[in-house]
Amino acid sequence: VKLANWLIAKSIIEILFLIALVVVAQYRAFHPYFRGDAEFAAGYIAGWAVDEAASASHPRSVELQLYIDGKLVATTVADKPRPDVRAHGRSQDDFCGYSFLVPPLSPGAHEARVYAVHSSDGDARKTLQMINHPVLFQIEK
Amino acid sequence: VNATNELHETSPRETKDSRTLAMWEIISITASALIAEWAVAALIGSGFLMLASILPAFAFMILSHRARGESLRVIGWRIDNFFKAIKELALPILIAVAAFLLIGQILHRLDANYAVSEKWWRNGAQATAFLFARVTAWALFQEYALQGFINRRAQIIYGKNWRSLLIVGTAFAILHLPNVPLTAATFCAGIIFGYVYQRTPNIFALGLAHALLTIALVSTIPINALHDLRVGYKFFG
Repeated sequence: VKLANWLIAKSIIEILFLIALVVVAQYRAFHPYFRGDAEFAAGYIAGWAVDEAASASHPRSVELQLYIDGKLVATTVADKPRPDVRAHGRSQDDFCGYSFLVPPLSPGAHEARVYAVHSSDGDARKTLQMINHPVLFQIEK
Repeated sequence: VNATNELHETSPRETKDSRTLAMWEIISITASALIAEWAVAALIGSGFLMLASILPAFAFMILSHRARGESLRVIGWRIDNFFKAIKELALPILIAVAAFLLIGQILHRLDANYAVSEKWWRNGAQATAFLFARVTAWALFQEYALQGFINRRAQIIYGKNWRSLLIVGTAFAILHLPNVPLTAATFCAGIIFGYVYQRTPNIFALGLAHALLTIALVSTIPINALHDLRVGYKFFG
């Protein structure tokens, strides 16, 4: 009975250890603090993006990638002035805006996705997380 | 007391409950190693946490020995039968080394890639000596877990026969998936070493033989054929 109890205890410890490991690994790889917005206007995909884990004393500009119809189009950093975002209490400073010039596309419907880039394990791993929702837009003939 | 110990040492057959528990012990320890190789390696790579992940299994093995009244001597941490065990291991090791040399020659003709060991030797004598010590320590630990624990539990279930040896070989092989050449080699090694252990239980001799075989393997077979000795999730990385 004692041995069976130890066997059960060992299994419980391992399960808890694994759960903790999964949560920590997920947290480190997929930083859960990116917030922002993206919209299409006048040939640009623009918006704002912040890392809510960054402090006021150590603000961090978010690195962004634009994908159109599933293909990487451009990269930038969200460091353009957006005082309105700060005024709404969503950013620690004014510099969280971004804009991507949309390249020439065929006429019709397209989908743009803006991703925040997160590095972990000393830059050994990079993950992407979508900012807000996919942006659907039309290119006229 | 001596007679009881000897009986336990030579034929650790017990009750049905004990046999069922022994099976769960084998499954649990093998699962712990698989969790470390596949889940922990995938989530955090290697390092301290990987080692920490097998600590509950290691602690359990020690507690299990105590609960079943197995002394260090019974498990095989002894020197009185060291040379007897070495004598029994000599022929299989010689055959294995000859096979490695032959396979290595054939594979080198097909693919002239260097052996894993060339990378090892490059770092100088001190680093190489340290590496040998590490390989031996790791081999001792593996033989303890495989023979001193799994083999003994398999003997509780089936006694000293081909079934318990099959369990030992299978457990050792599973831990080397998905590296097919290593899985095949460890299946055979697990059975042969398990047979020697059942006749002459000595972890030191088995650990030394294991280390020698590892060094012979990496010195003769091309690196590509062994996939850099990678197993578990790391096989893909």
